[in-house]
Amino acid sequence: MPMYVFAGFPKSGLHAGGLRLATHLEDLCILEESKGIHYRKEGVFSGDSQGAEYLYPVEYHISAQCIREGISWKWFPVEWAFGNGITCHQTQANPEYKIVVHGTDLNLDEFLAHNGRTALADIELERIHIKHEGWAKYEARWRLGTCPQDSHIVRLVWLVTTHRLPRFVYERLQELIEHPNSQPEHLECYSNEPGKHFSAIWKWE
Amino acid sequence: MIGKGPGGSIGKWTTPVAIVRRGGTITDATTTSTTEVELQAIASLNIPVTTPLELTAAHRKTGGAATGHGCGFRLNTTNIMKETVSTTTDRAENGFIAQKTAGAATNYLAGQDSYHFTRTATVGAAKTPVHTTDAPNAMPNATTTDVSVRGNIDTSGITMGCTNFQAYSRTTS
Repeated sequence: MPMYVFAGFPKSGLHAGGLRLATHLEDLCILEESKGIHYRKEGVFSGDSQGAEYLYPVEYHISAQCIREGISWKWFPVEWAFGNGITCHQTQANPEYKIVVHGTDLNLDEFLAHNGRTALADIELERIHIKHEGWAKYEARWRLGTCPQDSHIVRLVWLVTTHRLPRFVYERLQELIEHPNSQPEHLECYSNEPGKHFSAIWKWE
Repeated sequence: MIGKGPGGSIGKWTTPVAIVRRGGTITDATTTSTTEVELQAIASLNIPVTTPLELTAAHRKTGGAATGHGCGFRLNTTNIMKETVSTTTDRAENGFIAQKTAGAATNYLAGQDSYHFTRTATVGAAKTPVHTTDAPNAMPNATTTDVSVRGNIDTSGITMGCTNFQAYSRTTS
């Protein structure tokens, strides 16, 4: 029962349930949806309760787009829960910056407290990235040199199937998720009810 | 304003920014998983262990089967809240979950509260607010570097979603 990981959310606007319908309508694959199968970073377990039994290691396939963007199996931390079925996941990360006087680790307030009255012409200010424990831990998840250094959101889709996918099925799923302008077939079968198969697009006001 | 603390020590009141938003997302993260899954996460945090936290998220399920869904929060690698948040009626439902913590310290690791609220998608329909103080685990006694929302549906046939996951901390000085 392999797991497939793709980059981004489905470009067609389908959410996990809509994608599930697409796999049925287009006869792409059978999803693993049993409560007795729980995928975690450490392996496949017989459920998500605390006494769940370890069954076997995870067989995973990460798309080329994920790898290009710096996401490999290492990106997922210990105890990460993949569940089963289909999931559209997102992670947000923000680097923290502070303004310090050049050549010191002091902000303007601290510098003046230490040095007293100082002419602005005698100091330079710079903005530095605070590489604290949380950032270092997050950056280490990425392939070397690929972690975005500004605020960003990582969106991933993963699905667990009962059997390995033939190439043409894998490519169709990749098209539905990663390719711009992709559309599912049999659009008339998808519900117009808001949120039933497609995700709403949010905008900041 | 300067005030003297116990023993004559001098403290300093700063101009506080009481609530700090640490991160959040507003896109629909969804799943059809029947076992627990990471839906939304905020990483790269550096929140000291004694800092009070507030986490909120909106959740929903679609219709399509007579089944419900559950969700909750995780701090670092510890589940601190996990509840069934919907009915098993075959209909769309939505609500929110929220968690407050008082910050952790040795001997004070259960200082958290959580509550959830779900209603049907129809405005004015019956709602079921639930306040729970049962937590699957005590808070981790460590710096918070990651927070996440986990969830799953009970049996296949519906989709659950989570959006507007926000994390806030409260200043302590």
